[in-house]
Amino acid sequence: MNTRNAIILATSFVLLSSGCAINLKPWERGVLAKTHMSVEPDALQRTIREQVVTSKESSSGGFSVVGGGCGCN
Amino acid sequence: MATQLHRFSFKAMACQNELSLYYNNKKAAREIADQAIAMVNALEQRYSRYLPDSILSKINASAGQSGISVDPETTALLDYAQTCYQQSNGLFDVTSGVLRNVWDFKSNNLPKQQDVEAVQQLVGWDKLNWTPPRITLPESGMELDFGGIVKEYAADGCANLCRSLGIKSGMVNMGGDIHVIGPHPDGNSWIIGIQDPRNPDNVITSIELKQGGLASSGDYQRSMVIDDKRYSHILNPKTGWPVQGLRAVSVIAPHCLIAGSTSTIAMLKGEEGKQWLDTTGLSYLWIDGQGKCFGHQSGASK
Amino acid sequence: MLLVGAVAATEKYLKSLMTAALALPGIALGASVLDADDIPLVYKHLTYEEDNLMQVDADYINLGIPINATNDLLVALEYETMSGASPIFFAPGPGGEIIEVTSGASITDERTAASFNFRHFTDNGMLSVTPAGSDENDYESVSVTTEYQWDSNNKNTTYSLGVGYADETVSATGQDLNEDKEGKSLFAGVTQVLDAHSLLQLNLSLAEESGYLSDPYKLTLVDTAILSDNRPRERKQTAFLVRYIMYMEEDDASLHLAYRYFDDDWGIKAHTLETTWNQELSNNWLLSSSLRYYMQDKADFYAPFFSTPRADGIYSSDFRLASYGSVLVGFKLEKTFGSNTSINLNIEYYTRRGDLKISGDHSTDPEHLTSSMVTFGISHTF
Repeated sequence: MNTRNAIILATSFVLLSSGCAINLKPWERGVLAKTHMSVEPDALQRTIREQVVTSKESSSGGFSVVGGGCGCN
Repeated sequence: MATQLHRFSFKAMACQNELSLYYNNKKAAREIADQAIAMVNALEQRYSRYLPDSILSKINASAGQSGISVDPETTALLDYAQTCYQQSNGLFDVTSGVLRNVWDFKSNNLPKQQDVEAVQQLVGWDKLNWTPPRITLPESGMELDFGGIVKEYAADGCANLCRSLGIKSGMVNMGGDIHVIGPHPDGNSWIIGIQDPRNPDNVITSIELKQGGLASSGDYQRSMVIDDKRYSHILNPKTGWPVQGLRAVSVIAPHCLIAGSTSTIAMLKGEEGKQWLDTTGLSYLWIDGQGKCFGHQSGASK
Repeated sequence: MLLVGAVAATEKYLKSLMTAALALPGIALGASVLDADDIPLVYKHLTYEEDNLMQVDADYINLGIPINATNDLLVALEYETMSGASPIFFAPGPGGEIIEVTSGASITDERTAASFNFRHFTDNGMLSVTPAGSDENDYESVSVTTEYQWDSNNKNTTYSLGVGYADETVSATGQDLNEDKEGKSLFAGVTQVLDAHSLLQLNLSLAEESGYLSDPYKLTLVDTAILSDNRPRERKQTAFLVRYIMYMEEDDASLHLAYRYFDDDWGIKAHTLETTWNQELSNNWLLSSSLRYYMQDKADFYAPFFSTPRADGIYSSDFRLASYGSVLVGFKLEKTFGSNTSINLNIEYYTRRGDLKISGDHSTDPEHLTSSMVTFGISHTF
């Protein structure tokens, strides 16, 4: 899949999901407030894991904004 | 260390209150309870009508003079009171407290209509000026009374504080204004008995709650019966006279604050309260003038 | 008509009161900016070992510092020491098979990195600016990332947009090398609450690197000549990630599923599939089990060795650019005390091998990497 198709797919996903999702009332969010229900419950552990695998593999990105080099060559 | 139930009783806001907290350490549970009780006491210091140094008393003392500026928490409470006033078409009105000056439920006498009308001049949220953060009570003698808000808010705040400190199972009971922190450790709900309005020693039904607020309003706490007609302390701010219709209402909502406002508004609507409760989307129970009891569980609650 | 009116009335009453109630401090469901009195601190220590050849020890500190009601600062510090040998190149062996030639020399390196994330909060959004830097014997970088995040739909949808820029300098121990490298990146993401028990996240990240992108420690065999690793001076990458998180009420657990598709202009396409199960245990213990599967295609200019030269002079025998699969298994045990403190232990095993790639061609090189890592962490809010 080339880059252009990836972007088209991403955009259609975004439009689809924001249209069909249920509008959850603030008081119904109970379970979502649990730490392990957040997208990245342990952000530092994710940073460590991505550093480790990125130094062994050839792909990266997607998990967060954080850029910057790490010299893992 | 096994999780055990620890109960802490304390007096605040003119009520006997109780914290029931499940925790695996008695000393830590005591510390958590102490923090929660301190929070309730702090709220009482700030909003009690009876304490001359409270923010509420300062607001009331400023009536007839220029207004006063209030802090963010008081701003939020006044905004909430205003929302209730608007959503109830003026029935829920925190300025109606002055009516207690003409209604003496121990006397067994009805007030004179002209006395009621005189006090009515001081009642009406629409008469005051609320432009955050400034509140102005234009007439001397006008008063705000957070009686229907602060105790319920305290129950919520108390429960949320305990929850944030690690309590997963527990209940806060502030004289009938209840916030369930979480079910018993085995997953079972807390079972709360609802008093029979005509026979306070009897429980007319029970409500099961795993989490959230429960508040009740009833006509039996302060009332008098004259010529077979019951006059209760629930006064319609628009007429100055007690409402007739429902004997008691209990409401379940995510927060005790909302449960309390809803049960009060339902009582103030009298017979129409039955239908109105249906439109709120909350679970409720009412007991009407004939003693009939009806409960409804809304789909949203679990 | 009446029904529509009734439904609208339901929404309106409760919604108005809830909105007003949530403004109250005793009730609000959690502010995002750090409370003026809270200083969250996270410390982790990592020990990583690879193939009995390479070892890394690292210390990480993340600290949150409140500044005022709408601003705070997140500081992240890292100190790492690495020692070990790594393979240099492959050569054809006597029987035509491929053999790995290791230098035997040991590389030791020390790395220090720091980032400062300044966050500014508005009514429904957050702007963050993060300058960062890292320094080691043979590499230096300075970077800045900016991100804007905002909510809509009663906070059921969160959008994120970010850009980043990095300026890097590459050198090499034992060599007279001083080369520049530059990176630019763009990030867009959306997180959507689907219902009371689940969330979906979609992220797209685009990056462009230019300058010296080769590995100065790697060599390659071209016919009979030994040449330096020489990669293109530009690389454009795209990564698209979708994550689904679901709470399993009967099990008191949550399931996280993530899939990432990666594509670049070096010919590499990669798939990552990750799944984690977070199990709540009694007394505030949490056990997380994680499984990650990865596979990638090789770069166009990769070969274990080259029998004939390439017209463009681009060569690399760095196995990381080969075609292979990898599997990672991880377990994390965490204990939380009260609401302020937790400790955790995380153990992961990783293996990377040509034949772990389950579809398409894969490398037949003998290269087989296994590693294990243990992380111990403490977090406490002062």
